[in-house]
Amino acid sequence: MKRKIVGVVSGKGGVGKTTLTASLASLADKDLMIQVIVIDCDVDAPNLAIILPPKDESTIKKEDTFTTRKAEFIEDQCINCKQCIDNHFCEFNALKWNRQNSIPITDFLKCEGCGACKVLCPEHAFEIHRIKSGEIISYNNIMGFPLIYGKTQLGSTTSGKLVSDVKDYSTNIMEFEKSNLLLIDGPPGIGCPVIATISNLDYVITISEPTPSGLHDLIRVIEVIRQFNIPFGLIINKSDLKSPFQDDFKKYIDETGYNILGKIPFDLAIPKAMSFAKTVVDFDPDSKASLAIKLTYENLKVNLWSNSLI
Amino acid sequence: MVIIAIPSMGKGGLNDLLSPRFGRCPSFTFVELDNNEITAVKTVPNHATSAMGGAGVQATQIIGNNNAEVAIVGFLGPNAANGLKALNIKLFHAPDKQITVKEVLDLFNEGKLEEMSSSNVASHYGMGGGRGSGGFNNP
Amino acid sequence: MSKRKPHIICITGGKGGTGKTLCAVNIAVMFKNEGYKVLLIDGDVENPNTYLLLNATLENKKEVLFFKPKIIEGKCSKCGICAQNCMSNAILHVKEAFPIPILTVCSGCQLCYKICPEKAIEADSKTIGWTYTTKIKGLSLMFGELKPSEARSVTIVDALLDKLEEIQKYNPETFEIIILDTAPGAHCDVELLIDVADIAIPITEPTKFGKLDLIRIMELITLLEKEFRVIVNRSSLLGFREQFLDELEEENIKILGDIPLDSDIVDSYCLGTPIMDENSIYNKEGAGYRAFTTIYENLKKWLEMI
Repeated sequence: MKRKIVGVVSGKGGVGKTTLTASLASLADKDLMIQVIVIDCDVDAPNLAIILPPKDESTIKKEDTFTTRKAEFIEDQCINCKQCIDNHFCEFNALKWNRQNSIPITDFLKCEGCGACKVLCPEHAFEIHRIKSGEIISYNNIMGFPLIYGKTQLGSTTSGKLVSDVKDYSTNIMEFEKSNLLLIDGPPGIGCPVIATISNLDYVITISEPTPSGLHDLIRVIEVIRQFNIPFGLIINKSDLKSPFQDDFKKYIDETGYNILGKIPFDLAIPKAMSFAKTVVDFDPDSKASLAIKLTYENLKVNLWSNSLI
Repeated sequence: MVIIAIPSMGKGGLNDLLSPRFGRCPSFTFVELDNNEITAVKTVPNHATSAMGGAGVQATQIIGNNNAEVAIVGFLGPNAANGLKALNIKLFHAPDKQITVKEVLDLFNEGKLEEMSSSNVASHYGMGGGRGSGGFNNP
Repeated sequence: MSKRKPHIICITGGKGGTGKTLCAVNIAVMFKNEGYKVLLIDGDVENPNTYLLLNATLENKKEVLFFKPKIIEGKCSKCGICAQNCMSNAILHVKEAFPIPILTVCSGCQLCYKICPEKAIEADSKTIGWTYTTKIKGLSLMFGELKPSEARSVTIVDALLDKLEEIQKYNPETFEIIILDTAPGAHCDVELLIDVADIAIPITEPTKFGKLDLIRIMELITLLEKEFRVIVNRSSLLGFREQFLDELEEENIKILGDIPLDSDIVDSYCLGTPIMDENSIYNKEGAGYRAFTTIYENLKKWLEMI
């Protein structure tokens, strides 16, 4: 079976990407036809490692990434001409004038490391340095298959690039060659880290819940997925949630004809399983959530490999 | 006469493997074809491998500067794809397996390679702060 | 509480779906109920939801523009200086051809426009999103929205903060309380909003995921040198409350309060009628209502101390 790379996104945070990805990964691992690798690209808040911790400390590999650039002001070179401020070298408001000392100050947070100040300053009073942007951690988890995740260095501001780096890293591990399913737990939102996650995927799983913000954010993330022309399917989590929005939600979904991979009912087995750091399909395999997730997994396989299933 | 660019492993050349990635492949092999006969081969190291961002664009410059009209690629990120499209370079998809430059060239000559449609590529705009996208390797 | 300089309160959390918007909206409403002049800024520009919880219509739509380099072929000498100096490698320059900007990589630094010796690059622009302002239920609401398929949400957040700066400059007494609702995560959008605030309120949930992300956001808030106090939402989930609150106490993490599961809250969330609205249709003896009241009292006490 040809390798498929699948990403899980939702737009809205907290609808169940991580818990569902973990369960799907567990089912894939038990499936004799599948060799799975799981990747956590929610680099600002990677949580998959809680449910899928390392089997053994010795398999943990860590790599720092240095893809964030920041400007450094070199006072010795400065002749206090103030051109950098007067001629607006910085488009990101990261240069301010310190009147007391007649020198510019760089704002670390706002600085994008674009290098404009370095090129434009006639006295070469700015340098660009790479700083640590995050870490990529990989190991074999307790179920046996590889888990790779990225974690941003707080304050470094480059989530999207780290997501791409984490995805690239997965292609270099030993198990990649034999793998036929890569499951990527994506970040919330629709901006640069999500775009970096969705890039070049074979399939996208979108997760939503029957609330106005769940639907609103789903529509937005689907707009982005469509730009990439990648096939996608929908999982409705907490599908039987007692909310006044249920009917409106159902109506909208029916009208759009989105491909539904599964409907997972509200089930306390899910948070219970998480409290024991387990996937729900392992913790309580007969719970209604687990049964629904198993069905979802089968639907996913059909969507990924349809006629090529042996 | 047409010049074909093929991202390659190692130093490049007919016997080296095709590199499934474009932006950061180790080298490019440029093959001159005349009536399906190989009339010249040139290898160029890819300095874009060390690029922080926009490696795909830098790599595209190498392709353009060596006058290639066709590129055979394993996998292409959106930045490189946009660049190659802008230069009107025809893109063909290499098969999903380990293959040498010579072998993929033979497939090209036999008309067995699929031309890549532009719909493979995301037309999304707007980035910054070193976002980086694509480059996801799926050989 | 000082009535001269507004208090800027950032509601954040790291983990998605903990209830940031729910808390931001209801805290804003509670201040408004007591007669304060309140501005609520929805800084979750990728998925702004505050207006859904308030049944608000968005008005005063303004475009947020982003730099787009345009090569004027008539003036261009094909020297390639723009491409050579572009640190993002966003300009494709093949010999003897005009340079081609690759917009997907462009950082918007405008260096090419500034250094072109022939002045052959024009600073064109494209729309990457919008800002809106509106008044609803006595609250002023400012809202930012990133255009789906665009990546740079931070530009929209910047636009919102610019608008805020304008208001402050024009009349610093326009608002007494400014509430900033952030996106989930800990990246630049969120950092900018925490940085601008006086205090931060992370919203968490009593689960392992909630705890881990709380620790991350606390690290970020501390890095930005802000004081914070936590709200634990969905505290009654599976009886985790006591243990979780004990854990926080053991780690000296101060909390403003906790909000148990309450079907009134789900309803209010879906109907767009804030539970703490002045004319609240919800049960004032309900657990959610009382929880918010306690949180509000604790918040005011905290602000007195600052």
